[in-house]
Amino acid sequence: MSTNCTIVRLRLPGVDSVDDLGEQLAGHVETCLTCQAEAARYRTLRDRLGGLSTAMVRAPSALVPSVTYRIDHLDDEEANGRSVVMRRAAIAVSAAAGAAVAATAGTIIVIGLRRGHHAA
Amino acid sequence: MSSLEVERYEESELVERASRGDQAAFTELVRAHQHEVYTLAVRMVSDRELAYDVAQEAFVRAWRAIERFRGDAKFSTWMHRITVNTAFTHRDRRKRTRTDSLDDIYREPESASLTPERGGESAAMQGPLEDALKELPESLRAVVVLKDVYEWSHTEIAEHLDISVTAAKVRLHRARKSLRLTLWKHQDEGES
Repeated sequence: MSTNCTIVRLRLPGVDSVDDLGEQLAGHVETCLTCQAEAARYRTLRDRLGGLSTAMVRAPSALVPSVTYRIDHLDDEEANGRSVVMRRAAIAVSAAAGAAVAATAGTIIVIGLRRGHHAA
Repeated sequence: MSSLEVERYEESELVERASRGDQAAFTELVRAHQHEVYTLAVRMVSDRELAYDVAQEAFVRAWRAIERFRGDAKFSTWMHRITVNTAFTHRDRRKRTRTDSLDDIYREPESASLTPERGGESAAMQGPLEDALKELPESLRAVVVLKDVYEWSHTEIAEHLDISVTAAKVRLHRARKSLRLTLWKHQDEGES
């Protein structure tokens, strides 16, 4: 395998046609059976991938009714979403308040202990 | 007017009505585009149950946003973009909630998914190419699907996947190379 073959192999996955390889490498491919075979594989791959654009996967029959149901109940969903947010906010506020109370209590105890220590 | 023009006229009429809040018109659009959107979702996430959730969520997002749809692009193009974004949101959500790697999720055996239409799906989705696509890491699969199946430009892919154009090109290169090695593996082994 020549240096050109190696470069062609490295670059083929990134191009959409042999012409995109540049004049020199495209010229090499024209005369090299190994590179032609490799280029043909990538062309086949791209063609087969392109062919998938018209091949549909049938959606489950429940999809349309489930979308309609979701849209019908969007207000509920949003209300539930809001209540979840509110609940989370309430938990966060409670946690913060709890932490503040604990910190205050801790400070009072420490001060109390220090005073006790100094008095002794 | 050709049948295609009539179809487009009817679609723009439906979009117009839907954007004014006509839910029945939107349901018609969902009915018309369900297979296309579901197919894209399946190709993006390689898991039919997850694709069902993605397709459903994409349509709900579309309904929420249809008021702002100006009709510059085709409705299907707009839906494709929403579906791709939704697929990525679901991926991120799964990443946060599950410790399994995404590739493990996407390699769930077919029998683990539940949709009854599975047996009736297009034969074109079967076969070595689809299997090879499933085996790709998700970040590579998304790029090769959008570029080679849906003909998105590198710039569009980069924008939607929030990566650079160079990264999109590198991923495409790696994805194609991996697919090529998988699909012609036996031939390569025979040659060596």
